[in-house]
Amino acid sequence: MKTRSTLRIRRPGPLTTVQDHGRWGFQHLGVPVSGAMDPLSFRVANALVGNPWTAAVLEVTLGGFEAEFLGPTAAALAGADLGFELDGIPLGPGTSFRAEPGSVLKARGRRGGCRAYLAVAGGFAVPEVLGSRSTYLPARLGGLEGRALRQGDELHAYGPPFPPAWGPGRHAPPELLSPLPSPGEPIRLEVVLGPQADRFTQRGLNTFLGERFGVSPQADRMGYRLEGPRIEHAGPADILSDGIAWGAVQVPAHGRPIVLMADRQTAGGYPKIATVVRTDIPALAQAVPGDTVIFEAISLWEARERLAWQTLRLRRWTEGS
Amino acid sequence: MTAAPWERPRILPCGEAALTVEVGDAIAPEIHERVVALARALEGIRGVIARVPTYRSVFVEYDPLEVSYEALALVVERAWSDLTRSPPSVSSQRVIEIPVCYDPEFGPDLEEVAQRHGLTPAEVVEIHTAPTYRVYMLGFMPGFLFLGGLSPRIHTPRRAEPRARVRRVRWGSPAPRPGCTPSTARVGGRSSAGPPCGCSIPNASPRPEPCPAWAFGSEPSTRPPSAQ
Repeated sequence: MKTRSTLRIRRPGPLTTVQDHGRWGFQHLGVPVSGAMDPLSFRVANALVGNPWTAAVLEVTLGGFEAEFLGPTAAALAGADLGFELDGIPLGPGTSFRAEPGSVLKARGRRGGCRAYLAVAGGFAVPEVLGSRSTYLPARLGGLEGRALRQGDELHAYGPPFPPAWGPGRHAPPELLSPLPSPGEPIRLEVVLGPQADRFTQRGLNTFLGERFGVSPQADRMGYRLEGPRIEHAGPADILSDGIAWGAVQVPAHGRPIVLMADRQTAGGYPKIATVVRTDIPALAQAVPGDTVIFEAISLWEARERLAWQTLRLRRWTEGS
Repeated sequence: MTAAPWERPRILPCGEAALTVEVGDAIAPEIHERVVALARALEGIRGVIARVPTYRSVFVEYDPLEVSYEALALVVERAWSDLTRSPPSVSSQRVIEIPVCYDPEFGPDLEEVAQRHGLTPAEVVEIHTAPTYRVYMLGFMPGFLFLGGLSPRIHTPRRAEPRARVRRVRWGSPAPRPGCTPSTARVGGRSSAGPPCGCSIPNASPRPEPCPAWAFGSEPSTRPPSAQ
């Protein structure tokens, strides 16, 4: 496919990678799914530039990012508020904008959240590996040479720089913006209990659903290790390794939960007390060490309903505006 | 723990977009045959995104807006009845030989494993290369093999602290499940050997089949050949 020169990285910040919807369907070969940590912001950024929802974007972590556009293009930002400015003009999350050759996009300082998504019309052009352009760093799979972006990297994008009938300054509706943690307020995460909730005592379940947990410094694309009171197991904290879902909350022998995220391993041997529902993954993906979370159990059917409504809202907004 | 599948499977929700079907609670070929047969029965169902056979369960990832938990549970239970009436025949006997090197550079834990069991490193190598291992599952990292069939004489607990990095491919031996680690990983298992050549998933082409037949059908067995 034809590509165009689009962006040069001046400063990647702590971690900037190419991500898309993820590498689904290869877990039976041990290939982790990876993909955008915040699936809602990823979709919103793509929608704002008229892309199909699976187009590759940049996931910018925490800030310190600066890049120069090499050609005119439709672009959009969603997710964390990292204080982005285009040639000095502020850009909030969930906004589309027009970049000219030489335009400089800069993150001036984090105001909230953890991960921002930069989409350009057509999506970033990197080879597709096993059906996805997502970067999985531990195996150097996908993305740009399987690695994080570096200073001087030049990225191309597919197709024409502007979609038909596109305009800058479009804003995503508030209900489609990922919630960013507010200081002092715990992040409420809804979970479906199981698959191994029966491996915990009633006291352990009460701790899990009643107490606050803090995001530890060991929080990355693979998973978020949480700190807090010990969740009591009903027996040994060891099961025969089985498959791991996105948002699975596993509890090793030390009793502190780990929520498994985009780069989760495909299988593991710790009991999983619950699974964070898909519609609350974005909120956790925007958490940074020091933020606190509380868990609340809902039914499988409530979780499905929330996902269906979010998908419908996304679709109506994308098609209708 | 018994080596036979249960009478009824346990269908456990993993959130609203995945479920695990447990069919037994042991590492045993009879249970694994059932796992593989069940994974195969879920092929081609609309909305099913991934099927991951493991030691004693099938993990199914699905799009809940395409197929419901209830519909999948029905499919599983119907397939289960069929499999109970006519149990699946034993899957293939394909054997893969993996060359391994037990030098300290590749097997940093060999000495420790030998000492722990009162064996010489050469004896550990002999015991380690004797069986034909069954490939029960792939997971953890791309291409990591979870095997079964290690001699109890060298069963060794996982490391208390995972190694920060393990290079290329190694044979680990957390009891009773040895594994084979590709690429670079943080692991808690023991590394008693490694092949002299790496084997990893290529970053670009050739593009592997999305679901190679052997992933669900004819599980190969694998054994490290005798030490050179």
